[in-house]
Amino acid sequence: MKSLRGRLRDPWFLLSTVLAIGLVLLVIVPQYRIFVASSEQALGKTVFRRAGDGSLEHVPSSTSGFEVVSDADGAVISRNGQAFLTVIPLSSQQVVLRASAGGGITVEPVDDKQIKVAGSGFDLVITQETFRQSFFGPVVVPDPLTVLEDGEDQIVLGHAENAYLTFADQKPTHGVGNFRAFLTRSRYVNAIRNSLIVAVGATAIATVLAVSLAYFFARYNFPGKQGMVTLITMASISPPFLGGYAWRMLLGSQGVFTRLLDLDFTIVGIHGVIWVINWLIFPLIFLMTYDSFTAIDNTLIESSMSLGADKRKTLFKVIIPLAMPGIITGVYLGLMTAFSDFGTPYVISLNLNVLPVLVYQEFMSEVGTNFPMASTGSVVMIAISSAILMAQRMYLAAKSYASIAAKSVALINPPRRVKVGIVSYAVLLIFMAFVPHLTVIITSFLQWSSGIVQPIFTLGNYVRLFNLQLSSIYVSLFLGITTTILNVIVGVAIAYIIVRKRYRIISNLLNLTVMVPYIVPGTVLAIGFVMIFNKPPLLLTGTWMILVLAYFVRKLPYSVKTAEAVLYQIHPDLEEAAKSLGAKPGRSFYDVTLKLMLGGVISGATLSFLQIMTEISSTIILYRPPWKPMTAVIFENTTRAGSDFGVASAMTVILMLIVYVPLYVITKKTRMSPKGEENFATYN
Amino acid sequence: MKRLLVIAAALFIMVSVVGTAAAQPSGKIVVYSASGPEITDPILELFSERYPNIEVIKVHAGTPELFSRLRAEANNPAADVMFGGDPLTYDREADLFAAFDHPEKENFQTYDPYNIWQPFTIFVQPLMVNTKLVAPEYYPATVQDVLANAQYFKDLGGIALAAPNTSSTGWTIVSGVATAHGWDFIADLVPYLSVTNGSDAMFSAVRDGELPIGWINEDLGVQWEQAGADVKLIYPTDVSTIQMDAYGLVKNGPNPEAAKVFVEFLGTKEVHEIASEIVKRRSVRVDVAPPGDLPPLEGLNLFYASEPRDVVTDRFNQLLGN
Repeated sequence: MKSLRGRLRDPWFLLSTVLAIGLVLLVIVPQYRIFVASSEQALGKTVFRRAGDGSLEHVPSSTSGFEVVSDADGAVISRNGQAFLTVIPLSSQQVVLRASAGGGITVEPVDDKQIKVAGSGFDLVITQETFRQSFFGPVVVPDPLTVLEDGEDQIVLGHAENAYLTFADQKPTHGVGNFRAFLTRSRYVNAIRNSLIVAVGATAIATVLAVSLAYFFARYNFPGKQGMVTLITMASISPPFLGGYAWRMLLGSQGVFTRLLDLDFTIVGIHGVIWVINWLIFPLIFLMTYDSFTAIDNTLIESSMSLGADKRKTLFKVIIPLAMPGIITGVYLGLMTAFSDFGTPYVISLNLNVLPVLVYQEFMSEVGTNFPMASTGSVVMIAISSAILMAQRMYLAAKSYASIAAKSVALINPPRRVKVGIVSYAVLLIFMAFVPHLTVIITSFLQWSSGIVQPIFTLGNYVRLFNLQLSSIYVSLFLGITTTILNVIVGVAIAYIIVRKRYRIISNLLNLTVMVPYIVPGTVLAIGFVMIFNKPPLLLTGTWMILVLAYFVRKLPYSVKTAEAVLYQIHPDLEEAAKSLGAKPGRSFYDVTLKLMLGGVISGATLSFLQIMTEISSTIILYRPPWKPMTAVIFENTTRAGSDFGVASAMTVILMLIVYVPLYVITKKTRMSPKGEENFATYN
Repeated sequence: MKRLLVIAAALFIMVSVVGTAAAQPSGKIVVYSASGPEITDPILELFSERYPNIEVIKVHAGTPELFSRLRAEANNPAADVMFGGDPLTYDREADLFAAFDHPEKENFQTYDPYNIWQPFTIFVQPLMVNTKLVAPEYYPATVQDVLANAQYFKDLGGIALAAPNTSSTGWTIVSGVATAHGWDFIADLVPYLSVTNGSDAMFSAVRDGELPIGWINEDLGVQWEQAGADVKLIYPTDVSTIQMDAYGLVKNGPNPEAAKVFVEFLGTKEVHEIASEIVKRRSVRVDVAPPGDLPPLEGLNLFYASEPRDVVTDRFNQLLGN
């Protein structure tokens, strides 16, 4: 144990302290804030309607937390059997409020529509709402909500004719009420159930397709294999909404193919969501699985065969178990992507509630943001993704088949018939994954009017795009590059501290913190950011910085893990040698280790960059003009009924160009380093 | 002398040109638009012709998203103008907006006594059937007919209705129909509904043939009919709901002077003529004729949203069982 003074002179220690503080602020504090918000429950609310005849009509369906008993004279409001306020109609525009338990009543006018009333056992806001009977004719100002008489235990309020009066508790209290509501009310329970069905269903189908294909790729020799792997890698990064929108155009109830083949079918529904997400995650699972199949030591397979096991037995008893870690990691990434996918269910279902959409809607609600419910949904999402992560970790810990791959699997040259079968299977799957891309390329050259496509060729979509939305391309590139640079720098620094420095507390803290974003869905991360950064001194909402920070946090686990993996391959003695020759710690790191890490880090960074370019779930909550990324333009022009999908598809095509060219280059270069694979995980 | 006069005149013109140019607001304004590009684009095109110094950046999203954004950004507003959305929503969120006494308001059929919102257009929500799915003998004449044939529509997927908590159109329809026929009628209708998240999903579900029947904003519906979509608009004789959309000046927006120019511009006759002719919306201006493609309001049985959003949402959710 070094002395504190020694510590303070160690630049790495200072750096790790700064990083730890920064990460706690960016990663832990927002999640904590969400957790606190999820426990804030609005206690009681009730609504009365003042009818023209002077009666006081209670609305039971809008009453919660309070009990209201009305009779001819008026209404008594109580909580847990304790009556606290009596409301008595006086005339059609006046009510008396009396403190039931005595003890005085205080009143504080807010504006024409609101008054605060407090007393023993209550602290309420009374709001008046009125409705005009016609849009036409003279403009009538409704009579304001006013205090006419302010007595000791009773007040008289004046209000507009036919007004609705809402009595609501002012201060929320903390408790588990929101969670109870979330786990019992059908709207929320259905969302949880649908999310699980979508995640499990899509992952199950994708796993079967991906694992079988990966097995064929790892075992057999056939033409065009490298090209196909490149294509599948490209399919693993896909612009948002693309799949949902394209499949709906093709196979909706009046879709192109549905009409052509005269089918009585529609893809709109939960089955469509599963179908579309399946093609989104199939490439992820394939890539992970393919790498673990190719890493299997061939001598194990040979031993199995020579000990008398047939092909089938060898496959299920040796090959698949050995590949299991890769398969499980792929399945895990698939589950997480499917579970937190916002775009597909949003586009392809009419009324299907899944958790990311539900949380988004509770957050972006016309009647005001419902922070407590949005937060409760967020906590539930984090709980479910943590459970998925734990299951994966437990499985991997229990079944670790480490083998030193001495001899790679010899590829089998199959008979022609088998070869044709495998190639057709691969081509079919790859084609399916690219159906949306092809569709969107075609529609980007068709004319759209009021949201309806016309079979007329045009370049107009691109012209409009370049005239109106060109800046979005620069914004996306700027955000992508800035975030990636930040990720590389911080990722390398943290990895170095974790692997080489091993400070007792801070290294562990960093190690845990960087993994938290792994289980935080984008929607949730964004809501946490809005809660933390929407007031001074940390007023970041609406700036480009909040987008950079959100993307940075989302990609942090990947950038740190990539850097760690690269670092493990560099022997620490190299740096020690530099130090012994007199180089300072910073210099020895910079000259030796960093330079050796560069190649691996750059390919990891490129993948991060591509994922940031296609990020949607946190973008749509955080973006604000003029910082409007391409994905936000696509979102705006995809989700409105009358909107111009031409611009959205042209923008998608440009996004594909920006993403696929670098991805192609990187894929060609990194296919030999399996460790880089973790970065292929899109996790929107 | 003559020469001097010419020089003086030239100087005078120069000064006045420079003077007006300096007085004219310029720069960028951000407009949050709940109306789609089919509505904003023709208007913005005219605006950039009239005021080339002011650049408009628009953000399209649903009314809920935009109002949530305005609320979240109240400390540091990004938008200058909010365009679209129901006046009642503006009333609720009045503290987000700056009052603006519109110079044209005497020409409007109605206006906000508090000057928070400015009326723009009024539009009816007729029924829309998908002609590929629904047999002509089942085209309803009234909303009551829809209930009478509810099982038929249910078998084709259900009656599209936007959930009142996610859409002010849904709120208006439920409240209007409930006012006309009572909440029991809504209760009877509920088992046959396909309740969508937001009004866009309701509109496009019928256009795309996912659902046979639903309600539509007439302007979009007429444009779809004319573009050859498989839809037909029907104005029910018993109850047609009607909505107004409004715009307002965001309080403490980044560029208030230019924003005022835009807000004033939105009330002018030429903008309202565009709204009527191109966008097929009924202008609130008394001197702009309604679009010829739409039936006159006089013949319709009009209903408005007449219960608070919360009350309608709570009641409706109770009927849905959630």
